[in-house]
Amino acid sequence: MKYPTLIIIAFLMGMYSSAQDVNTLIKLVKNKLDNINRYQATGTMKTSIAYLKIPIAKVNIQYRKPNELTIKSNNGVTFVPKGVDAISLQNIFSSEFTAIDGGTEKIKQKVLRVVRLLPTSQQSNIVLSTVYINPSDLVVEKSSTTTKDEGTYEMEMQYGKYIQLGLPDKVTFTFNAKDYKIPKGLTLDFDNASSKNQKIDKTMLNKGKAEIVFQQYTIN
Amino acid sequence: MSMLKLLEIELYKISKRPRTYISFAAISAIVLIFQFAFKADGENYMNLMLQGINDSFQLDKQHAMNGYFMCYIILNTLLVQVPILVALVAGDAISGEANMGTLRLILTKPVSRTEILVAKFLASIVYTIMLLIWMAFFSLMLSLWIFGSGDMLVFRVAGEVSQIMQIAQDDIVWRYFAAFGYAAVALTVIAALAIFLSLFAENSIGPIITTVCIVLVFTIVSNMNIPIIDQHVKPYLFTSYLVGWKGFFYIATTQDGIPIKGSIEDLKSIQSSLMILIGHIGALILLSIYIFKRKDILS
Repeated sequence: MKYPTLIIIAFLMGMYSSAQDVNTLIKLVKNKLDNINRYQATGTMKTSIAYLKIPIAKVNIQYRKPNELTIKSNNGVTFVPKGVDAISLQNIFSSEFTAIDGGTEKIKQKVLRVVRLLPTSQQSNIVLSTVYINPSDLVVEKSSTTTKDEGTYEMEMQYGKYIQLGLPDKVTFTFNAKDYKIPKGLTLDFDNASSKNQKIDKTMLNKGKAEIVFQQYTIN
Repeated sequence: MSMLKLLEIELYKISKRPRTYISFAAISAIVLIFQFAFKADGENYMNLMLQGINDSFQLDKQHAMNGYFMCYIILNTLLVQVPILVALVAGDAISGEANMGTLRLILTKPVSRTEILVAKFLASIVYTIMLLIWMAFFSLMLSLWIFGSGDMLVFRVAGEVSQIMQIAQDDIVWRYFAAFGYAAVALTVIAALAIFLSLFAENSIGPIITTVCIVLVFTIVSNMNIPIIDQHVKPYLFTSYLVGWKGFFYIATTQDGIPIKGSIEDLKSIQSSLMILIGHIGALILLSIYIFKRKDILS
């Protein structure tokens, strides 16, 4: 009778300490990001989705605490995916949440801590976020967020010289998009040989990707 | 008499006809109405073209609605109607003279019938080019002045795929030059057809209306999407190639879907369309010369 009780106590203590670890880890990551009040960055954005044939855009990214992020292009016409403001990780950590330990996962030769964040407020647009934290550098390497309005999006971060501040050099943002279809009568197209052969991978119509490469940060 | 002198005379005749200026006035009016409508409520048009995109992307529509985009929209609509304006002058070339009773008089001059017909044809080409320059000025220059410049969006349905292509600002102007050049060849086919038909009439209304009817019927058939017509009818209609100018705006892309600056998706298709149109011009003019040389001139 003694042993099962001890096992249960040890298990509960383990759970408690694990949860505490996760909360501490999140707090450390959040504190690191909180040091930045605002930043301006120049960079490039490559948006890929089956129906868009657009060049790599030169963009200006502006962030202001707590979660205000805008992406604007120099040439005016830029397709900015909705929900892309989530690339500021402060957005995920800006509301109150409950952190759940998801264990560890090895991604690209790195052992990352998986943490699931459940917002406590019912008003929050975020339903669930899963963040993959590099515990040694205290940065989020990957995240997956399900929102009420913009569906699910995923992010992968690559860090370089701004790793001490928790700011990435490159973010790959994967998002859900609606199919695009316009009636042929509206465009009066020239039916050349190549257009007749154009087929599309329909699975690619609803999945988009934006790769943002940050070239220069001006912080605070 | 030199060919240049003959051409000068024909151009003088064209410039003295009031109907010549109807075309310039019509183009100015249509373009100005378009520009006014888009300035007042262009966002609704943009929303229509971007339906579905608006839910997934943020886009500054005001920047997208620039002069280059406007010119493309205007040409899309106008180049369907311009053949009518070309027919208005070219259809009058021989039949107008027959109607006024001056054809016999001209043929008494020491110039061959071939030279007279070629001079009339060249005069029609000059008129067509002037019309296109006028259109370019109004639809491109004026639109750039009103709406500003920027990257250009091209909406397209290719096969079963709807696409939006974006052409960088510094990669657009040469495409318009090429497109207007192509349009000049396409409209010359109409001029050649109208001159050919004008050989058989003694007043200009007949050839003008016949040319317009042929263009309208062929255009309707060219825009039908029925497999049997696609394969067996469309390739033989010159109207299927009139919109070939758009090919200059279909930019080639990399495997990742990134547009390649200075490229054209299917240059061979444009070249073959151009050759077909030039073939039509050659055939119609040679046939016209053949008939005109053997024709009894009774008026």
